[in-house]
Amino acid sequence: MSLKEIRKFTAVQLAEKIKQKEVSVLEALQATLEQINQVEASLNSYVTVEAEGAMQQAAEVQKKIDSGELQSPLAGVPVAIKDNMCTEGLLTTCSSKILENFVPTYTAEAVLNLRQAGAVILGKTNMDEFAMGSTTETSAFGITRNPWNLEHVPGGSSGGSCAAVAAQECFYALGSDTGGSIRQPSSFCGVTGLKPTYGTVSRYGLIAYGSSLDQIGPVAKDVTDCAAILEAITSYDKKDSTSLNRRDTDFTSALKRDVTGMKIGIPRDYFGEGLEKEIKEAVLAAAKTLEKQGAIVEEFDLSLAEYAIPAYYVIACAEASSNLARFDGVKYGYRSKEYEGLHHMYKKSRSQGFGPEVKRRIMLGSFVLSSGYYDAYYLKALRTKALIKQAFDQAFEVYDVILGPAAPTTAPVIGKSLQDPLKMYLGDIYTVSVNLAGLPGISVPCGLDGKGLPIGLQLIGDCFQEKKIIQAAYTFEQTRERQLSPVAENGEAGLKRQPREQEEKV
Amino acid sequence: MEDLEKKQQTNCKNSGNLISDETIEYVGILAKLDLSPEEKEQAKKDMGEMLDYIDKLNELDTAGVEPMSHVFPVNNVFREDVVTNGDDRENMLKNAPEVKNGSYQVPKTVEGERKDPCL
Repeated sequence: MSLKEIRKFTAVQLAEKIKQKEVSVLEALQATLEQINQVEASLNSYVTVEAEGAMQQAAEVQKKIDSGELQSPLAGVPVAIKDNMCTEGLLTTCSSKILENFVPTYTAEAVLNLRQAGAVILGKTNMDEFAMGSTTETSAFGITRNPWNLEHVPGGSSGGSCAAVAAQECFYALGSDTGGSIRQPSSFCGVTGLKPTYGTVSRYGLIAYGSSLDQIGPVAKDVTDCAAILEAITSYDKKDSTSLNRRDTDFTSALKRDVTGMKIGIPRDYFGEGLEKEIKEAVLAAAKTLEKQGAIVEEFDLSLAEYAIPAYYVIACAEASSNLARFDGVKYGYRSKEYEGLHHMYKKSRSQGFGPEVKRRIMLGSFVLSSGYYDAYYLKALRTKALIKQAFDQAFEVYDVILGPAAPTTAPVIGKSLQDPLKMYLGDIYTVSVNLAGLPGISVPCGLDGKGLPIGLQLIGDCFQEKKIIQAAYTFEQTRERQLSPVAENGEAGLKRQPREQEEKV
Repeated sequence: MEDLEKKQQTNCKNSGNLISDETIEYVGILAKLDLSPEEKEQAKKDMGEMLDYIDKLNELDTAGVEPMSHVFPVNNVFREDVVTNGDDRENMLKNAPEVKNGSYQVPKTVEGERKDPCL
């Protein structure tokens, strides 16, 4: 079997081939390394590729598979990890200068769970600095390009993870989602990404941004992979005090092509001003498809959608300002070369180590938590969060699943978004409320726009109802062909497309 | 309580205008950030715009709504204070910018000859 053929497999298919001895773990790894050699210089999906370490892991995993010790449905499959999850002995930067040389002494629980499932960790993916951004352009280590069109961003903040999966530079990846950071880049890169119910996956070893909103989740080629990965990374962890002890974690049991009688609600407020026409059409067509498969689809008013973004930015920035106080140039990370005294050293190190977007959010967060503004901003946002949760609770009394777009646009052109941060924040409109309410959400590809860029369908479930969104997403997926990015389809040749000219003609 | 909220709502109208040089200085101290004059100007503008936008929340009547910090009724999680991880001092110190005698080294903080300009 050629390496190119191997790359086409999903993670679950590949593990099966490895189990059947049709592909070796080393070959699977070589397949991804070959693609990385061909396209990584153009895409920059990774901050760190650890080929040698991965080779060693591959040999160890192969032994355990051969001896029958490892039987997981992901055993032997190479995976990429977002660079905000600690990996023992492997550089972990959060795509920030302030952590440019940080080598963790322990591994994040979710990553440990993957290793126990026989994953081969081949590198750390690029992201917006400290997961703050929607384009992966705020990374201190260069932008990542979208494998569907190199002139466009991959989305963010898990842009590296999503680009790597879309470009077949890995078979699946872990991302993290604080306000849409898995679902939005998944939608921009034409891959499938799932944000679990808050508390499902341990945050131990995930470098915190907004702790009450952060969740780790899978980025994969299809829904089946997502379910299998989620099953592997879910665990109750005493080291994370917000970890939940769930029993219904057999997510792969929901991989059934059946939505008969499933009640799907479409929030009218998700289809208003600002949503691109082609996205609206593609998402509503997906709803029609699910209706044809037997679901009951209705429109309804979710309400409060417009308040989710302001509430989110208050809460996330407040938590970020507190979480990022730990970066002070003492125990790890960057320390300024010139300073006078301790406090000046803190200030200099932080000011030189953090990028503009991170500073912007720390400043806003410090302000809304400061005395005199705490009630008016921070508590007001927490009250709004309570109302948003209530609105979802009411919706889920009627509906099994809420269906809408993952983002109001397809991937923007590189360099356009950061000029107007507020406008960029508004792009999070369909994703942030899910984090505020702690709900699970999945983005599945549902078509391409006129520029050939992927569109994502978002399915939102009630707390603990991952299985419902997995089942609906799986059913939808079964009705269509999986589309590959040009880079996945043609490797190096896929990079040579110059779609900008085509666009200008349009 | 309601009165207090109303008062805050009035206070927050056009709060973008509230961002003065003093506010930026003060927030810089809270955030432990040393911003350049250009960064300060930019921060004033950005924060003002964001707060104007965030003021949208004041359209919502949240009187009597409890602030929700956690979506699930999970209370404080307690455990026995038992050390389970091993001594990893050497590896941890490898990440420190400056180390002395097996400890993190920081600039002199007491009885220094030079005065810390930030204190």
